[in-house]
Amino acid sequence: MEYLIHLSIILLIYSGLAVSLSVLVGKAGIFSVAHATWFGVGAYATALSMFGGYSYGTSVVVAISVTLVVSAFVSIVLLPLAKEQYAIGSFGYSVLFSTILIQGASVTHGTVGMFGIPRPTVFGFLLESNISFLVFTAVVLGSAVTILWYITRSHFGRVLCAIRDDEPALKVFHYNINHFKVLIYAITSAVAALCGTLYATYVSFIDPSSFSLTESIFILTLVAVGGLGSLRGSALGAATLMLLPEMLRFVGVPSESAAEWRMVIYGILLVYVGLYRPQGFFARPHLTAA
Amino acid sequence: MKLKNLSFSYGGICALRDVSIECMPGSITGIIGPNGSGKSTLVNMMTNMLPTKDFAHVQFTTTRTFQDVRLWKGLTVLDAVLLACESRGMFRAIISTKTTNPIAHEALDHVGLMHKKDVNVTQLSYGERKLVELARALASQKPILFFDELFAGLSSVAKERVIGILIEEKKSMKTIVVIEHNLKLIQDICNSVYVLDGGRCIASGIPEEVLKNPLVQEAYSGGI
Repeated sequence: MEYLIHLSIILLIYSGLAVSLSVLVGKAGIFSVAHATWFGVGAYATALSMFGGYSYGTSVVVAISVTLVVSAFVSIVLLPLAKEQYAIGSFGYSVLFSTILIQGASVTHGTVGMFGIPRPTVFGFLLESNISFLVFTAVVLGSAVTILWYITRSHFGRVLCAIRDDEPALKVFHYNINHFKVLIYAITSAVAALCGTLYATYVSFIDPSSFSLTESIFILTLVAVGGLGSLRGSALGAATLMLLPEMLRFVGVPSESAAEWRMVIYGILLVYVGLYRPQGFFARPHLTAA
Repeated sequence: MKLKNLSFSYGGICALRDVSIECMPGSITGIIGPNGSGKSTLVNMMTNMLPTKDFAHVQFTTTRTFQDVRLWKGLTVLDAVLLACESRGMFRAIISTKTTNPIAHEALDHVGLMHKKDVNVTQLSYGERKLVELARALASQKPILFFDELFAGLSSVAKERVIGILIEEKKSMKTIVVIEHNLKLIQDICNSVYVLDGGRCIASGIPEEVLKNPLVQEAYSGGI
């Protein structure tokens, strides 16, 4: 039972990451490979704030505020870049963040990482048990995903679709497209940071490897397999791929080779999606008429 | 709308050279010319799709349709039209989820596509998509409307309907600019016409007179 609860918490956190990235890449067409960076900013900001004696609530506010400001700045810098160049630019930020985490050892403890991050206390109640943490995670991420869902259903979401499909045509109607791009980048990054605050306080240990470029690509894989732009598809994609190693264990794959097999299966799934299901496994097919 | 000495270059290639155009409210102005004559460049400059410092104030008063229909494939017909008439403000856009804007509904009703408001734009025929673009332009409520080959691909019934709409808009003192290859249509609906060739305006005036100009016939139809 405890194992299932643990799995559910991790699954919820990665679903939050996948859904937020899905909105950014799938709805707005902003191809970022730096999502784990904001996941990491949230985790490290929370850890540093809590070690500094601040409450979990204050730490979350700090983490999200820092993420909103820094991600908005990063987004402004990347604005002039076209889609493919944008991916390369965000790749640069991902590498830069990992380097800062490793080189700034006096603050971040470098590759050793930070451990002993305390569990959150919410309204005077310490979330010591995993079941209480699961409920808290479900409520927090459920709220965040609801906000994202609302945004995609609003006129803002309509503008994002138009930016993705034909940005120059939207210019005719005098929208300040750059403002929309920066805001959605900051909002989705803030959701990733929120996932980071939960991750750091749940596993109680963080190091740069959890927020590397590889992790960003993994989150992108969850979205691509699940369904670009589909919130439900991305969450289901995350669930499927996160549960895959566990399924391998049940079919008798030795644990020492499970990681390799997992990567092989991820690779096959990605090739299959690229060739035959570009909309992902759990999203409706794209309407492709001209 | 008075545009004086309009010029534009793509790199070293001059697409438009000292073109001056005057379009009056309550009139339909035609712009004709062979391919590559600078018609699209002129419309792009006037509708915020190409940078221009001198005419930025004009750009805010214009809207357009496109020669190759440009609707957003992820949106429904109503969504596409709503983008033209809902608030441009970022924070108001987040709050607003309404799809009942009467301007959008009226525009769709006007072009006869109200029954398809919830259909994805990619599911429409070419002619229907042209009509959605027209509805989008009408819903933007701008005083200057550019229509780039609006009639291409429309059925004769739809053409009649669109001509009726343009005449209504003209009566409500809108400034209408039509880029068209159909010279008969230009003659029928336009009050004045400008002929572009090689980025220059080679003739302008009343359609009947301009179309008889040998220089125009030579440039536009090879003298045939």
